[in-house]
Amino acid sequence: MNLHVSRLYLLLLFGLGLAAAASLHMGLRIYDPATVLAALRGGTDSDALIIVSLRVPRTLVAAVAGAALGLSGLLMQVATRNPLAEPGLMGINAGAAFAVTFGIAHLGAASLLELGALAAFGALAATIAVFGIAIAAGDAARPATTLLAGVTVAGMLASLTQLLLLIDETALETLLFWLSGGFADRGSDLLRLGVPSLLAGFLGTMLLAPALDALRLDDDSARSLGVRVSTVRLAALALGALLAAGTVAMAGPVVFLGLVAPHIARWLQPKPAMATLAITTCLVGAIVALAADIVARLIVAPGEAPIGAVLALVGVPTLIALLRQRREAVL
Amino acid sequence: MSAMAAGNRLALLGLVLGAGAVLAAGLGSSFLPPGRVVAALAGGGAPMDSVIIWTLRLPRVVLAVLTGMALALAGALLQRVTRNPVAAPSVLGVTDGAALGVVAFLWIFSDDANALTVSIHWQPLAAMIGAFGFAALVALLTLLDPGGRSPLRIILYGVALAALAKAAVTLMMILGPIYRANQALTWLTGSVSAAHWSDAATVAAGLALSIPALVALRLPLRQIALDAESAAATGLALGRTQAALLSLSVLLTALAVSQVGAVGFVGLVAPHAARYIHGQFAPGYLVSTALIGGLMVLGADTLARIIAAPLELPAGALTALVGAPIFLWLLLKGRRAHG
Amino acid sequence: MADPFARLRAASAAYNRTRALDDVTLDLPAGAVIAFCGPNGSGKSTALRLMRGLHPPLRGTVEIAGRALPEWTPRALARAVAMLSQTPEAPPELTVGELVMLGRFAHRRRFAGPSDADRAACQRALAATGTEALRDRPIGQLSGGQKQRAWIAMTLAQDAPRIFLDEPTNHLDVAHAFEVLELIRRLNRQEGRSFALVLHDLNMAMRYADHVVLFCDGRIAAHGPTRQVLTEERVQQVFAIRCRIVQLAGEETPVLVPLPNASAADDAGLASAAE
Repeated sequence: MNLHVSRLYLLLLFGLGLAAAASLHMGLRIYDPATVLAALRGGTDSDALIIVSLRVPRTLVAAVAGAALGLSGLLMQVATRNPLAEPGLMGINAGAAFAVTFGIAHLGAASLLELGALAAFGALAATIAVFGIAIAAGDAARPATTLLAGVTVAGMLASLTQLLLLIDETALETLLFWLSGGFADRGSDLLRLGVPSLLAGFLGTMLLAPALDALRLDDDSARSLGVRVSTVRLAALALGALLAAGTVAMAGPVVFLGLVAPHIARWLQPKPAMATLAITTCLVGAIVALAADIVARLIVAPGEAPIGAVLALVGVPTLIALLRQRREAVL
Repeated sequence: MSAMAAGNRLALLGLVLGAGAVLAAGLGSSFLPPGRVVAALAGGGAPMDSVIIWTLRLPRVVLAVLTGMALALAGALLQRVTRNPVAAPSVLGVTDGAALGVVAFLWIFSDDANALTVSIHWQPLAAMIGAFGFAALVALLTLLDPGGRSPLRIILYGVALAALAKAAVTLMMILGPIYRANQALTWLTGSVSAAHWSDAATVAAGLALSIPALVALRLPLRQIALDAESAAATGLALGRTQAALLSLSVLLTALAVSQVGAVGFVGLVAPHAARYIHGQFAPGYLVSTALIGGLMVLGADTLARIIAAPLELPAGALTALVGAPIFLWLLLKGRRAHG
Repeated sequence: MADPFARLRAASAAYNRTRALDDVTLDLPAGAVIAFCGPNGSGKSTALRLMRGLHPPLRGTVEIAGRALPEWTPRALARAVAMLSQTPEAPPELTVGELVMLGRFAHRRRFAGPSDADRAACQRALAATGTEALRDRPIGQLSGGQKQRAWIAMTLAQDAPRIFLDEPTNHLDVAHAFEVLELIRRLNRQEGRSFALVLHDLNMAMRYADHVVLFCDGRIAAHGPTRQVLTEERVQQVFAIRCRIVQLAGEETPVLVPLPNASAADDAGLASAAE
């Protein structure tokens, strides 16, 4: 690791700390640092209650979800060699949404933890279906096949979800909250789904990193370096799916972050090795998620703006600015 | 891909589409068997049948087929020009721009009592303005880009602006009146249920106008499958061809979504289905793409009418349900030819 | 040289600010087979790409057949000069016949199918490269050598009097490499077509080129008739190797024998073995 990378990490960590601190302070009520510190030290007044039971979990969920989604997007983009790849393309969000809708409409699921488990199950089932089809269609190592299987399964599941919603409107109320995705009122017990998947995904990425670096070459060159191309590609996609499944269980389908965070990370670190790029992407994802969440609280106060919309408002100008600075949008 | 000649494959697809249209025209609250449909179409049959077919059912069937064709063609052009198999009309910001146009229209022209202050017939115009506005923005950003104009950058700008439009739509729907939100939701799903002959005629005219352009562009469309250098070395004016194909793709998408709303999936999958069934370099590839697109939307709309009858569902909710299983089957079957 | 088929005038070129060609002036004589030789990164391919209008010059001008490059329309230029780049790509399901027909782009009429002339040109190109039997095979299923010959066929089908080939013997075994270069010479001698080729094999250049341009560090180290350019001293100087040129009994063309230079052999600890 050279000086430049470590300085970048320090900067990003500083930014993450700042964003997290801001996330604890800002909202419908804006607290001063003394109040926040008192609450974190175990204060018991009503302000402290709000901070500890609402703001802290929300901040944690946003940071974990942002890191996981960014990393998931990075894995998908590298594994499919497609800069447009993101978790949503693999049917993950659609699978989670269908499972949750079905659970609410027909299985009587109601608690957030139940919904989270359903979402994780749906996400993983959709991913397995996508991989199954890609493998059965012959060469699973061909990225285009996997992507096509992904978008097709995603489209079908989204269609089924819409059908369920059209036929059974009573499910709509609970669902709209969940389906819009977000970090508010998600509860800290959901972190039990998100944190392990982030850790597992991150460790897995570190283990795969050398092979993924080789995968940036063409398949034959990678193979001749001793990389099992299909295995590595499937493993990377599986890790990406796991990360996204953990997030969707916590925060519902959050779009756009998985696409934009890796692109920002690549801009910060133009010629990165996979391992360092993964860390940068996690940090960037977390910062962007926190920033978007803060904006979501403020922009239509006293209401909350949907996180997907805010992410777009925050992420799009960034993405455009990045595109205008970089000559080549390479992987 | 069978050994059948390209012409026969097209004829077969056309036949299936024709039969599907006759069947679809017969389905509804009162079922008409194909024989009576054909009689009514030919100008004979019972007067009542004629009225049902010509004024109620046929505009819808024709509109479904034509919009499916336009979307499928738009997708085929886009995938070739960007050399990206997951490029779909929605990535260029066109669909979401149209959605923004419609939602803004509903928002601006509603009074306090939730009634529209202008005729609803202006809604397609609003969609058109939104679609072209966002397409123009994407083009502008790309042209002003100091780092070159590769197709990938066009897509990334498109994706970015599409997300922005989607965000604006979401915010407007939250802040706007709830009744308008529902109306906008129906539009966003895409539906052909309110079809009139005038809608179908608009799409038909647009498609007819695009045919000479498609014919003129058919050779460049093949040539662009080569890498950029080889394409240029064989005489293709690369930049101009890309611009022409992208513009045509935007036009076709805007044409379709302004009439029926944001029907998804067709533009993404119909070109691939045509690739597997027909071959993307066999003569008539675009024709087969169009036929398959038409079949997909027609199938979706027909299913939407009968699956929860008497309730009618928006066709856009079902295009994926109709198209996905067929496409997955093609994907699995195609492994010998393309694996 | 009265009528150069391509001409660079004080041309410089760069990739992302890395200078690749530095103030080069070059006239390519018409009606000859010209080889571009030189170490990797010396500017050979860049010179070809510049002359074919695939890369814009930073400074200087490019002329083809006496007309400045910007005056040509893309189609007219493609009818005047064909070029095969180093790593061409096409969808794997494209058949050889379809690929070769793509070479006819600049000749085809906009609103009609292929004409008899188009079909005849494709047929000639397939026959000349020995790829007739592969006509209906998807290029994704070809071997490296077959694919290279299919691409050469596409370039020939373009029917241009001037042809640029960037490493045409890439992926080819010795027999096929000879075949392609014999074909180039035949097309040159019988049909008067001019060729400019990037060649790495100096012996192939020695045998088949009428004229050699030797590149070094983005500049031209030497150019002129083959035997005058490919001398022991020049090759040693440009490639920083040792080299001997020997005449084999019964062979008209001399053979160039490259040898590792003394210091490189020293580095590898092989000095004694080499002597």
